[in-house]
Amino acid sequence: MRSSTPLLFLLPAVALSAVVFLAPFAWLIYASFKTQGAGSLLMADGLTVKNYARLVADSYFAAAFVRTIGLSALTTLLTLVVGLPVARLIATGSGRAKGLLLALMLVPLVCGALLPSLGMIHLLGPLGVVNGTLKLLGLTTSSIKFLGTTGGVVLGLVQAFLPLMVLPLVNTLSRLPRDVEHAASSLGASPLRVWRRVILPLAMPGIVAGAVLVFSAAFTAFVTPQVLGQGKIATFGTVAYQQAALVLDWPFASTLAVVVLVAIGLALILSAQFDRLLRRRRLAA
Amino acid sequence: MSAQPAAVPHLEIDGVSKRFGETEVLRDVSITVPRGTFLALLGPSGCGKSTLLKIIAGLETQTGGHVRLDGEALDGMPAYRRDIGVVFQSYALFPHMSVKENVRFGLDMRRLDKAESAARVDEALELVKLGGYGSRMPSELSGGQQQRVAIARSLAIRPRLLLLDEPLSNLDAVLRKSVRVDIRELHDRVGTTTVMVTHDQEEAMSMADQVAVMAEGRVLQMGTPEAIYERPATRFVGGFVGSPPASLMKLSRRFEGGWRFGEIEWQMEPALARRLDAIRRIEVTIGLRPERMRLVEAGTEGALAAELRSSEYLGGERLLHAAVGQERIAALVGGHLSGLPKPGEPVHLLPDADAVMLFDAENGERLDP
Repeated sequence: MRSSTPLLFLLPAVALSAVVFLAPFAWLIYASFKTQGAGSLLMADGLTVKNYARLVADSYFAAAFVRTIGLSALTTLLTLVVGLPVARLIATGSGRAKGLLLALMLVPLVCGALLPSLGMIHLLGPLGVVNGTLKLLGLTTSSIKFLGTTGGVVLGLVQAFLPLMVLPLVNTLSRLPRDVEHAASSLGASPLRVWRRVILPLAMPGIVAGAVLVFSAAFTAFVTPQVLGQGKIATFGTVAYQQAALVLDWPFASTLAVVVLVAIGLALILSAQFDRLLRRRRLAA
Repeated sequence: MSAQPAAVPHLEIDGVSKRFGETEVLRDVSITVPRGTFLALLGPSGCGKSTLLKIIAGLETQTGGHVRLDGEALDGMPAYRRDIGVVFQSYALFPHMSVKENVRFGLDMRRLDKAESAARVDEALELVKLGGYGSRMPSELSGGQQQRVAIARSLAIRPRLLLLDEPLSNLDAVLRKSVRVDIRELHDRVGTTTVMVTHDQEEAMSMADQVAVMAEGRVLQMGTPEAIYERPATRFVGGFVGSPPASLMKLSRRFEGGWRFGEIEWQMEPALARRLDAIRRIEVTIGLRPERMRLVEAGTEGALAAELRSSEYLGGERLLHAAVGQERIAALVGGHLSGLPKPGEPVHLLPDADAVMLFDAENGERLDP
């Protein structure tokens, strides 16, 4: 009796979590096996896998799925390439410079997805800052088309999710003792080889964590592809939005959401396996 | 080791200085080290000794002066081209590599062929008595073993110079004494010129051929441990080297002749009095080594009358803390002595006149030649 008392106190919190967090997920999964009643917003009776079949059969959705994976993978790679030097700078920096960089990194995280995307429109538009600069430098005569293209969307996604890569990297890189790098260079490793043989392998946990975060965020992103893709780039996020808010086919939108959830769940499991593999190799050798 | 012509010293630190912004960490440090020497850079924390080691290794850049190895200037040469082995205080092993991979790292960087590098790895691990540990991971080793891997890793590249940064500070007291001997014996076997940084005078004195005592970014004195102990160049060196530390007190000439500690007159031995007279000062700082003091009967010529404050039993020896007026004085006496005075009782201490150190009361420099 006594041992169950603490659990009793936890009950309200558990109940609240169940209602506001788990219930919508359960409803989502339930709805994905429904169809819409003809000429109505209500769901028809009976459970069916019709939505899933449609997803596989309709090449529009399959293409969007593949495109989203591609975009997310590219975004992950680019955030890693851009994020590593930035994270290193923050991790090894000191005092005011470090604080300032870290604050700059956090800005996009706290001001939501829309604001940065609108800013990117100003930067990337035909008369925007980037094109203006390129023309001024004589590198191009006509404006490069960023908006409504895959490139523009990827740039937006990289900008939006860079902090998700940088923060875990800063965490692992700042725990890496400087002596270890110094030891490597005193043993004859050039800076490049110090990176390849020492820093990167030791930063692996941070790289995996950052990659999972950026990939999931890019996969589920909606605002950035919508605003920068200008409706021309269909990703899973924008397609789900169309189905839910424009077509009003909530069951099918649910199906899309469930697929995203499963995909991200798989990515998480894979990365955890990878992490465990790294750890085991480190121990076994 | 082959003899090097005297004209070209092996390692030459020539007027090296280093400042971080406003703080001067090293001021015009010059040291020359013959081949095969074990040199200790000794000093309290913040004296610049670790910075000097980093500059030699190329992990830090000096703001002035030069470092030369066999006559070749190392200035501006990156650490990875210097062939200088460094053993870090934290050992800095690569946690994602096995012991063998750690030791092989430097050889991989030099692209040695497989057979040669395998032989060198085995040889280096044998040297530090870790023959069977090659496949272990660093996390599976004790602190002492990790340190030996770090030493093996540095020696495997056959460095021109071996640098040790506080090698014993992360070991427990028992291990420290045995590792001290191990490192010294290893040095004698390998013969690589070694520079060790330490804040522990006992370590420096017991391991090194040459000791450079540093304080506030300067080398105060460099010499053999014996020379440093017997003839300290400054008051600081006299107080820093020796254990337990020497008692440093102000001694003033009395108006009527003779000498006093504050208000307390001291009838010293004639030999010592002559030394003091020759110096012709009104005030000096006198340094008395506790191990060169004797407990004597009242009225013995040259004895200091003091009041016992406390005593520490050290097993075999006893360290007495006594007061002479405002000054404190320590004496190391036989631990088995019976009938020792109690705290508060008078004691009479006779310093060995030969071992008395005399320094300038103002600038702390050694006074008699």
